[in-house]
Formats: sequence, C-alpha cells, structure tokens
Amino acid sequence: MKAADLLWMAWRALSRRLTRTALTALGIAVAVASMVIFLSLGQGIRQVLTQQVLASGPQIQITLGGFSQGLPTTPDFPMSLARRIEAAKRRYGLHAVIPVLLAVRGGLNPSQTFLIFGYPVTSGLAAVAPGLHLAKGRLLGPSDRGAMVALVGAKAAQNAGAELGSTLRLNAQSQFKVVGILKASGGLEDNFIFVPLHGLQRAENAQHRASYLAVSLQHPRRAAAVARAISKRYRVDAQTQAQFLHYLDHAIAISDALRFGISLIALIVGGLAVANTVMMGVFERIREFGAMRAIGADPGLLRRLVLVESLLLSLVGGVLGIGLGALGVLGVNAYTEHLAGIAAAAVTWPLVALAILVSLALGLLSGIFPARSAGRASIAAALGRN
Amino acid sequence: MLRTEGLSKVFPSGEGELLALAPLDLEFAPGQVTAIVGPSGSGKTTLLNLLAGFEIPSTGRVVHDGLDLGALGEKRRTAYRLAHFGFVFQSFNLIQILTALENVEFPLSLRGIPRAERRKRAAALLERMGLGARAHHLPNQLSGGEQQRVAIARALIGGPDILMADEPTGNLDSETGAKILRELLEPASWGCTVILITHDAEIAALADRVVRIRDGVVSLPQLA
Repeated sequence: MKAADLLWMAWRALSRRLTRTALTALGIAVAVASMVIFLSLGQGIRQVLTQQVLASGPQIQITLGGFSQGLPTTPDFPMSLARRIEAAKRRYGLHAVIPVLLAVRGGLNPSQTFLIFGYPVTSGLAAVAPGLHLAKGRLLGPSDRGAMVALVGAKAAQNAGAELGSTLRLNAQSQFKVVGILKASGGLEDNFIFVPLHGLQRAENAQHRASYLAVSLQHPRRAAAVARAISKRYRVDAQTQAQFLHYLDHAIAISDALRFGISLIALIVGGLAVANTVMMGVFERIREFGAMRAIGADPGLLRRLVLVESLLLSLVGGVLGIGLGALGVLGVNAYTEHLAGIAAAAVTWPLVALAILVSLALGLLSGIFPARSAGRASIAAALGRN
Repeated sequence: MLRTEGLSKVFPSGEGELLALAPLDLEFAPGQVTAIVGPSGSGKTTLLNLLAGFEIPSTGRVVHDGLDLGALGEKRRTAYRLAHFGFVFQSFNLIQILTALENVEFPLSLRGIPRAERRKRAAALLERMGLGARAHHLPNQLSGGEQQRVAIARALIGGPDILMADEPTGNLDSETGAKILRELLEPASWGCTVILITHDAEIAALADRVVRIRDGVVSLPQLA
C-alpha cells in the first residue's frame, strides 16, 4: 500500500470516530499547551535579557564571586579595589569603570519588588542605563552626590505609587525623595530605581563597598583578553557580555529543564490518553484487522496503520496545543506587562518545532503497543470473534 | 489446481488434544464448485482456515499449482493470498471506516495500483452487481444483502483463482441468499475454483461436488 493511501486510511479511521478523536486530541492539546506556556517563559526571559544586556549592559562586569549565585547584590566589592582598577584604565584600555551597588526590596507580591541601582551620579545615567529619557522632574547630577534622592523607572513608579516629591522608604532609617520619573522604555530598566551610590551605601550600611564594577572598553573586541588579564591581576571575576549571556542562558536552560519536567506530567497523561484511544480502536477493529489480514494485508501494514493513526492524533493535538499555548502566552504577557512592563513569555519557532517533535514522540511511544497488538492479530481468531 | 496432502489439524484441549481435522487428501479443480458441508463444530471452518493459510496444519500441506503454501514465509504467503485468493465471510467483515467503493478498492490498494485505476475498476464491478447507487455509502448504511454483495465484489476485484466463502448466506433471508449464491457461483464459469462452506443442504445441492465433514473426518467426495 502506498504511503498516501495509508495516511488517508489512518485519517479516515480517526475522522469516523470524531468525538473520541476530538476528546483525545484535546487532552494532548492541553498537555502540549502547558509545555508551550512553561517553556515560553524561558524563551521570553531569554529574549528580554539578551536584548537588555546587549543594548545597555556593561562590556565587562567585575565581581568578587562571579554570577553563579545570580545577581551580584552582595555589597562585597571594596571601593579601594575599584579605585586600583580605575587607576589602570590606560593600561587595559578601559573607557569607564563604574562601581554599582544593587539592593533589592520586595515582598510576596511581585509588583512590590524593586531593584535599587546605586551609581556614581558624576558618571551620568547614560553611562549605566543608556536610552532612558526623563518624563517628569530632573535627572541626578553631580550635586546629588551622597543625597537621598531617587530617579524612578516608569513601571517602578506606577507599582510604588511614586510621584514627584514623594518619598520611597528603603528601611527604618533611610528614605529617598523622588526627584525624577523616567519615560517607559519597554525594558527591564522601567522597574529600576536609580539613586546616588553614596546615598545607597549609607542606607545599606555598605560604606566603601559596591556590588560590582561595570566596565566599558575603548576597544570592545578586546573584551575577552582584557577580562582575563584583570581577573588574573586583581584576583577578581571579570566577565564579558558574552560570558554573562552564556551564564544567563545556562541558568535559563536549567529552569527550562525544571519547567519541562513539570509539564512532562501533563504530557505523560496525554500520552496515556492517546495509547488508550488507539488501543480501544485496535480492540474494536480486531475483526476488521483479521479480515484485512485475510485479504492480503501483512502484519507490518497493520502496525504502520495503527502507528500512523497514533501519530496523526498526536500531531493534531500538538498543533491545537500550540494554538492554545499561544493564547495562554498572550495571557501571561498581559500579566507581566502590567506587572513589570515586559513580555516575559515568547512562542519562538524553535519552541514550536519542539512542541511538534514532542507531540510526534508522544504519538510514536503511545502507538507502539497498540500497533504491535494489531500486527499480532491472528486471522482465524480475529474472524472468529463476535 | 488446489490440493491437500495428508492435511490435518489438532488443537490442544486441557491435558489432551482435540482432533479438528483428520488427515485429508483432496483436490479442488479450476472451474469446479465444491460445497463443504457439515454441522456446527464439525471442522468446516478449520478446513477453510488451513486451505487459506490462516492456520498452520499439524500435518500435511496445501499445494496450489505445485507450490507448497506452508513452505512460504508469512509475508510471501500473505502476498500469495492477495494475488490468488478471494474471501467472503458470513459476517461480511467489511472495513467499517471505508465506503462500499473503497472496500472493493482495498485489495487493489494493497497491490499498489494507482487510485484512479482501482477506482474505475471497483466502480465498474459495483455497477455490474447493481450497487452503483450505493457505492459511496458506509457499510452500516447498507442492508445485509448489499454488504455481502460488496464483500463478493471485494473478493472478485483482483480476479482470484480460488474463491472461498464461509457460510455466505448465513446472515441473510432466503431470497437475498439465493441472489448472493448466483453471484458466488458465477466465477466458476471463468475457471475460478469456488469453495463454499455451508451447513445448508439446499446450497450444497448447487455445487458440482459435496464434501461432507463430521467430527473432523471427511467422508469420500461424491458427485452432486
């Protein structure tokens, strides 16, 4: 039998049992949709962070402990070391060396979690977060050195309910007065609160310390060599943008694996539903298979027929699942855009391809046992069955 | 020529064995209609299953045109059956997901014949059998007689050398059964060996030869 005839016959078998086929396909669709939504989070976060790092991230970031623990929020980088590295600017071809102190304030509600970004106001905002523009008030300038003032990202202002002149309380002793609010950029910086480095150091009781150094280079192509040289000379962890992105990608890949593991439960349930449907179909048609064998269909043909039915069923469910997943992603993005101004989830072509492949693998695995049963049907027994 | 040589079948039964068919030597000539007659459980269907290669004999062999069918592997025996045999069953055994036309086409699709050609041949055969208007109906939309005629068309579409029918009128009323029988006997006129399994003496009377079977033992063939 030709492949097109086999495919057509398998499709006929499914379409003649429309309700059962539709319900099973829906089961797979829900499983695949959950996988798409789970994994789309990784894809979206990957896209946002990559764009962010490439657009405004430093060419080299220097920390004491690297990035293996996530964002370098621990204020353990001595300012004395920062000054030594700055003094060697010419030697390494550094354009700017900016100490940054990060502080995170948050609660259970993600919309009430803020990243406070302390930087030397003499450097200018563009040096640490290019592409941001003022909406209201003023930018931070040299006169704000050590002052308890804040420039607030658009989303952070919205979430904190901050207005010009209002105060943001960091802890019992420290509060920052809002002197400027930035225009929304559509990036992560919309969630940042920018404050003078010395003010944040005082508030965090981290005088003479920073979280990391953000370094820009005169010749960015030499980033890898410069990072190696600085790491060796000062016994610090200097990472280039590429290394940082690699680290991010690795971290997201681990979280992808975790989320895929969770969605695997739904996939297994979907696979069992396919196996059950196809197996029931085989049992119901065992006499029909017997007649087909009697007429001249070899066992291999029956195995292929059942397997193709299973694959088709999974494929239909998979395509439906991608559609459902895409709708779910729209919902997730509506929520994260409201929360943080970013689209945290994305349905990419590789994700679509993965969903199709997983669906087909599901169909293949679910169809193997029923296909074997169909191929083993004895003609005499099948024809004798009432 | 189809013939059996010492063909027998024994089934295990509890701790012993059950003789389903005693050793049998029999010939089925081209163009001859043979009725195998016997009561239920006498071994008629076992004989048909052995002749068709659906079951492996305990002893002996089935030979068609000098070829020992038992010596063929499963795949080759299936292909041989497709090329030389046609089957009609008591319960019709049509493929429920296919229309009447597609059921008749099915053996040709197994042979890899292009869709347009097999459709033309199947439609012509159904038309000849008076089922042209029912060609696009599913089996469950056809009467018992119509289903059996579709099954006969499916058995004949490949031009078989041997047509085997197991109680072909068992599920039909007598008038429809008589029509079906005429259609089943017709292939003998163009040299097809026709083997009818039945417990109905009236049907057997229409055959060229009657083989009686009881408790697995075949009595001497006699001219009808």
